[in-house]
Amino acid sequence: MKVLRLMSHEEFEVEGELSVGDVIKAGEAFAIVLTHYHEESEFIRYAGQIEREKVEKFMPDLISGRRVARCMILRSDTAPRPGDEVRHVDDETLKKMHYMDGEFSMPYLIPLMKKCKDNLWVLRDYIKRLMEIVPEERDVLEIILAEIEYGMLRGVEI
Amino acid sequence: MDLSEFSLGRILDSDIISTSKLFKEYIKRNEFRVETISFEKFRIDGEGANWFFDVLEGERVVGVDGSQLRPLKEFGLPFGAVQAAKIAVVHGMKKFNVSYRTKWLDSNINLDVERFELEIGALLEEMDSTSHLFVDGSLILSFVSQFNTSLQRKFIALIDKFLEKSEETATPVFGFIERSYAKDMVGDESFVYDSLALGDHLEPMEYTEPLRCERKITEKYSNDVYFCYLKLNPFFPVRVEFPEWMKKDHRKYLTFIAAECAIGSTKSYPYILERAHRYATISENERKMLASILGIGTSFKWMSKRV
Repeated sequence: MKVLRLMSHEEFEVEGELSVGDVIKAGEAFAIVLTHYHEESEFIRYAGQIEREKVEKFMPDLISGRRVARCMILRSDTAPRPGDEVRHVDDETLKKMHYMDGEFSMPYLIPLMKKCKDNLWVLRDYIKRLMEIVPEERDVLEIILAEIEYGMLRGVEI
Repeated sequence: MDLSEFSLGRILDSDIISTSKLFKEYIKRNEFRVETISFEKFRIDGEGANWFFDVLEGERVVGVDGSQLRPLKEFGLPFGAVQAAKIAVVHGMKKFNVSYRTKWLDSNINLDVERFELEIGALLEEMDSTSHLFVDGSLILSFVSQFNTSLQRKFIALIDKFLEKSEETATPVFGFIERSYAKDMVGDESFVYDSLALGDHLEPMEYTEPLRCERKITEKYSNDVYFCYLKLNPFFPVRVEFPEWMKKDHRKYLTFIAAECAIGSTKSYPYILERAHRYATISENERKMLASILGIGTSFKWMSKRV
């Protein structure tokens, strides 16, 4: 999996099989997958001239019609760049990412809540994961989770 | 204003667009073509509608293109960057790979030579006797005369190494020039350049015999680069350059180039270079992003040009 393009200082896109909510590392940046979509292949430029099967065999980079995941940077000193390798972040690394000078911190929380306002379940599942891997911060994470779940209920018309 | 009032070098009291029709008329009347130009020509005979797939089947092709970021100075940062994108495709096998190289530099360093070094370096890695390597541009570095001696040496050392290794490893390399302004056939005194002069002398799928470039550019390879003009469409021919060792098999190689062009989106430019360019390009969006990532100051001139 590789970084495809940067969308802004806080978002980038990755080509590859990722799921919404996955936490990844691209270059030096930690990020969470917010959404994904299927990008139209560039085959369209050749359509009508050469049959699809031939394009697939002879111009394979055109045909793939990539699956693209849009990610939000959680923490980074340097932004990723197109072509950077992307890998999943394990629990231990994710836990470490949240400690600066021994203090637990989530500086990305407010921007992430704003990004996820239409699909708060992504954030809810992420916080639940954090509760499992950082049990010592469970109290504060429970407060955040309650707020998120309240936000989800608020969005439902009864 | 009529045509009698038009001549090259004369100041006209109007804008360029308004006077362009007159200029077109002027070109038409003066017929900047060369009547006599002698050379042997060859024809690429592709059999069947999909002849190019037969030519390319199983062949590995590599293309490289570069890009650079110059405007950082405009944002108050004395830095620049060069990037080279390389794509390798094995035709007919569904295999491809895209890779990048980047270098950040201080603004005193010449970006052109650094970019060239990245591109050539990326191609040197592919000299395996089976791949076909495409360079977007000339193998005859006439443009180096504009640089100082030290830069000239660097450019020349790189191209020498490139051509030398091509011969050593028997890896075919092609310099592809879509719009050439060379005057190797018509002579320096000529007003028009080779490709314009040859427009009427070649039919589509015909090419000129390989001719040695007599321009003395490098010490070691001054006479070792050959060129052909290949016509791929009803308009102007493209120029293709290659080292001397490939000359004897020019039919095979020119057919290969024509096939590579035939699968490009325009059918007149090699697919592999088209894709390398696509990967190498730093889009306007990416540039904006970079400005945002680096947190650099605003250049109002830069912004105004993009409104």
